Amino acid sequence: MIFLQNLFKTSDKIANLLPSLLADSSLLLKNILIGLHSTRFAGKGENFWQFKEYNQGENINNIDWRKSASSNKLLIKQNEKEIAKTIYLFFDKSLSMNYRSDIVKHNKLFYAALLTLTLCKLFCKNKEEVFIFNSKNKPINCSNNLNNFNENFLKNIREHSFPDLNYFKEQSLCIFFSDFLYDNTDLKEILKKLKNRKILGHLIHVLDPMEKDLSLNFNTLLKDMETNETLLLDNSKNLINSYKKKLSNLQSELGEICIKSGWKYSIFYTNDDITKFLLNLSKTISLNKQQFI
Amino acid sequence: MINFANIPALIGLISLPIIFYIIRFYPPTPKQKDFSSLFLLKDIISKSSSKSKFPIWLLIFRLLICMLIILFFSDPFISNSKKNTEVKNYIIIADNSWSIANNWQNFKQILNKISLEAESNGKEVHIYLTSFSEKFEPTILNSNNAVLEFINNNPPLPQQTERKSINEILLKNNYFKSSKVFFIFSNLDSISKKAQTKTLEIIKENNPAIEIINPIKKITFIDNVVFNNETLEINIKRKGIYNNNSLILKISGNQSEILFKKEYFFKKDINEIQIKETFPLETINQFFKISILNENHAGSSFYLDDIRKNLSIGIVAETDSLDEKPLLSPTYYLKKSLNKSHKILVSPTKDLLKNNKSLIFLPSNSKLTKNDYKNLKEWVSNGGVLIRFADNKIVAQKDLYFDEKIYYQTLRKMATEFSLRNTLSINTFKKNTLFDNLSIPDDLIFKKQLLTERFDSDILVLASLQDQSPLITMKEVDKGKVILFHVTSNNEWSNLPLSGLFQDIINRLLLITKVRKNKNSEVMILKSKVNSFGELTNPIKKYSLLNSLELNKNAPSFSTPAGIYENESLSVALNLSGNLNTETYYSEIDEKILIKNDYKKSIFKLKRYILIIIFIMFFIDMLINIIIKKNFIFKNFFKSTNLSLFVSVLFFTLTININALGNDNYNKVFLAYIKSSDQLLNKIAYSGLTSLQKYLTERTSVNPAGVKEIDITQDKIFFYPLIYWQISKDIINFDDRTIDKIKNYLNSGGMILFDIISQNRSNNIDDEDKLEDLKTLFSELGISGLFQINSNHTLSKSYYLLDKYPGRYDNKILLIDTDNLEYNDGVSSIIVGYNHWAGAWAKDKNNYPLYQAVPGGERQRELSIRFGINLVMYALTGNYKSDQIHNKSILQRLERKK
Repeated sequence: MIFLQNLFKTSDKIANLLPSLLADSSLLLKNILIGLHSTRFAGKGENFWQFKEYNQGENINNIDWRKSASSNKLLIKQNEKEIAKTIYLFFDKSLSMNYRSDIVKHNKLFYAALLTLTLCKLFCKNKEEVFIFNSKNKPINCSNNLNNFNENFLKNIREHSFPDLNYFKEQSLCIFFSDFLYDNTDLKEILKKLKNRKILGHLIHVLDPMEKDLSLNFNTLLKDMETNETLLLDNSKNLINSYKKKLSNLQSELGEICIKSGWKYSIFYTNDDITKFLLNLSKTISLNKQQFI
Repeated sequence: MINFANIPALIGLISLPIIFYIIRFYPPTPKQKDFSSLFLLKDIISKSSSKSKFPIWLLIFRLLICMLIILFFSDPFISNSKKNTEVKNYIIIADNSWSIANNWQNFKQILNKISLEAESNGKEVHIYLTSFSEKFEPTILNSNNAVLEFINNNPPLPQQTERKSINEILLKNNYFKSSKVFFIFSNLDSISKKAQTKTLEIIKENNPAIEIINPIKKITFIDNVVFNNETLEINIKRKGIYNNNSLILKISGNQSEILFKKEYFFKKDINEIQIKETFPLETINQFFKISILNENHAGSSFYLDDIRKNLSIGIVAETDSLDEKPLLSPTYYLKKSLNKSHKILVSPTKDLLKNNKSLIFLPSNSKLTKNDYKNLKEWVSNGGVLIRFADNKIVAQKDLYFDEKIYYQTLRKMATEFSLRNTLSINTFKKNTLFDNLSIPDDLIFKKQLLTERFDSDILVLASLQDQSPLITMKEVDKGKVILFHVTSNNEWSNLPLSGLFQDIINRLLLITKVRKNKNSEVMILKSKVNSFGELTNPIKKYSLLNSLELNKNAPSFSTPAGIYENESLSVALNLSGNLNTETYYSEIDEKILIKNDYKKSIFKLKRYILIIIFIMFFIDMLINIIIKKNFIFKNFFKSTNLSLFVSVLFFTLTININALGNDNYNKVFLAYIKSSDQLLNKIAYSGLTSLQKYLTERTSVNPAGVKEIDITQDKIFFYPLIYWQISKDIINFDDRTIDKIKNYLNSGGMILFDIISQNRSNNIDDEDKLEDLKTLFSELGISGLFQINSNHTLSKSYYLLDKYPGRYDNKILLIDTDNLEYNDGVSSIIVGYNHWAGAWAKDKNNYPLYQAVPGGERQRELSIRFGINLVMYALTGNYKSDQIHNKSILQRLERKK
């Protein structure tokens, strides 16, 4: 059982440590655009975000005529709210996520939730709209009120499942956390569909170090946490090697799926440094964001 | 040929296939563990699980261990002897007399080997001990342990054996022929040569197969002890191979206190030694046991007859005067102080002389007729010891010592109100005299004393009063002795007879008497028995001798064991040493009879080796287990995980000693000086700082742990708060590293006192040159300013109040640096002077100062010591004394000084 308090505390700690990278990147963007701005008021407007070239079909009312006249282009004045992305965070709550080996402190679910919550806080700093899927796979808006993130988010589901795709807004950003230890045909389909809806995102492969190395004692009976199947582990070196091969196959498969659908794939081992990982992740996310702009 | 001592244990081998079956077909149940998902594993394991669960080689290896364990319990051995089947029993005929005791371990080992072999072959061991002549039945034993227990319960007897009964048994041919027979034989144990040769003859003729083994390796024994008046003659012999030629003889008294101990040396190739020592009679009378150190058998100790126990003592007294006023009676205290075990007769002189007493007390106020007097005189000159006491009548008597000489004696009164010395006690007894070590009570009072005017040199003063006037004197008269107490035997003249000292004195005086053994034909009972190792023990059985005269004839035997026999009047020792029949020791033994020195058993036990193999295999098994279970190979283990840890632990253990040395420097304050090329200067500095260290410990709370010599180019210097540096002729040229070291030292709060050594009291050009040299060094150190010390400097008040800083000389100049004051809290780190302070502090072996302090003399030296103390204080406390808070008291003190 994961205690929420613990989760919040840890995520607070990490979030405070991390510089608000997303905010930085946005600031950077603003700084570039300063000078182009043609409002009567100098400095940053409260909602103003940027000027955008007019595309056909957009509301004519939004055209900033003064600016358009000066730059000889039709420009739309966009405010911040509109460009702020909707971000969906989803982490796998299947029973296999409860696995924890002896060398790490917490199970995979804890780390997945922790990453989710921390990212949520980071995004909230930047006034993005963040939705986190709860155990019933319904998106809950956590951008304004983090208290929405409650125990319901941590309840285990027997088997892995994905949220209904209808919940996702177009052009939003999705981050999926899971161990992906299941057949990935479903996932392939989902990502394909999401790509069609211009929804991009990240797959974060959360794994226990034991799942990476399989350094288990020989002659142990392994029990699947989801299906309760058992398997006797014997000691041949082949076994470990072929397991590692299989795992790397899975990882490259997932990577391929992501590339095909324009997603990003990264792996997080639960004994890794979480701050470092988040830093890297948020860099790629902010780069991603710029792509959208 | 491998045999098994414990064949039933081999049944255990049946269990091996069972174990094999069980392990093979019922592998151990695996541990169950949760795992996230078997998604990836499923396919792989179904392929590889056909492999065997338990490696067959490991199974065989473990079964081998099991087999070895079973073999271990079945006790296998390799046997060389071929005729085992023909032999019915093992028979051991063993000598168990006195000489075995010294070689007891060897004897036991031989028996152990024989019995081990017998046990392994499943035969009985029949043991005959030759000393037991009463019942000569073999003791039949089944196991090695039983044999060892039997031997331990039957230690060797301190006697020699006749070998009669063994001869009888040896003649019974049949019994021995069917057995394997061993004869453990010591020729020292035979009582006569005849008996020994007879036995050996019988063996040669009837049982040539008997293995004769001699367990005796070496032995030293007392052959004879003779007392000839005051000389003691001891004859000691030895046999066997000895590494050293020395021998320590020990003579102890009744309470086993050592009275005499001396080392003697055998001459080369001669195994006999004659010892002749002379002792005073009273010492000889205390002897109880003579023994040879490091020899543990009855032949090495000789007990002396404790005849002193029952002295026959007479006290002259009139029969009718006994009962009235007993406490005032002159005989009362005498009787009280004599031991009850003595034979005391209180009667008139006539009866005493008739009874042939060896010592007669003549108490005060005893009446002697002329006839008695004459008889006593005769008795004394024949060797009697007479102890007489003074009384009022004795003043008129002329023949004081019964020697027909005329003495004039007076009576001296003491402890009266008008006498000069009221209390006179006894003078302490001189060493090595009769009364040595007796303690004198404090409350002795002497009221009267007999003084003789003519004092012959042949009168020996045994005890005297504090003014050297005699208290107890002795004179030898012909063969006898007369001892005179210059006080009465009751408390009329002194309270000596009431004190405990009186009893001690009387008992010591008894040692003077010569006692003749007057053996009579009375029954004597064995009181303590000499055991096989020459010690006295309480006898278990009662032995008695009908006639004590028998003791003279007899050697110790089964019926009369060695020991101390007593009856009411006598205590006589029957010793083995001195009664040994030695003719057999050196007589030749027929060459045809083979006598071995040791027995080599024909079996070789494998038990121990199997155990070692089992342990090694267990260890290997453990290693295999670890490798298999943990699924790693040790190489990887060392490479990847903890190699650095191992190395660091190793490094730590290696350097721990060095650390300890370093810690000493950190934790304690040391005074230090820089080693110079001039050895004399080094010595002066060492001695000077050592005495400064003493002064510091005496006068201040600084306790320097010691003085250290520093090689400035080699050693670390940062431990030391203060370094003393003598500048003589050597020019100071250092490499950069040393310069840096000194710089760091000074910057981190160190202090150096440079002492420019000159041969004269006044400054001269030489010294100036040296100062120039120093200044170049300082410039390298980054110090430019050297100024003369001002009168207010902390150095002048850090402990003592000083206005000048003299050493061996008094040049008044003291330079200090003023450069880095802001870094070091205003403390100067360099002090330069010309006064050779170590010279002033240094002392020679006799604790005299090494050099004169000029011109101020000892006062100047004192000031130089004060400077030293101030300097150390300054180095340790910095400018603490310059704080305003001290100013008031310092000013007050200065006022007083003025």
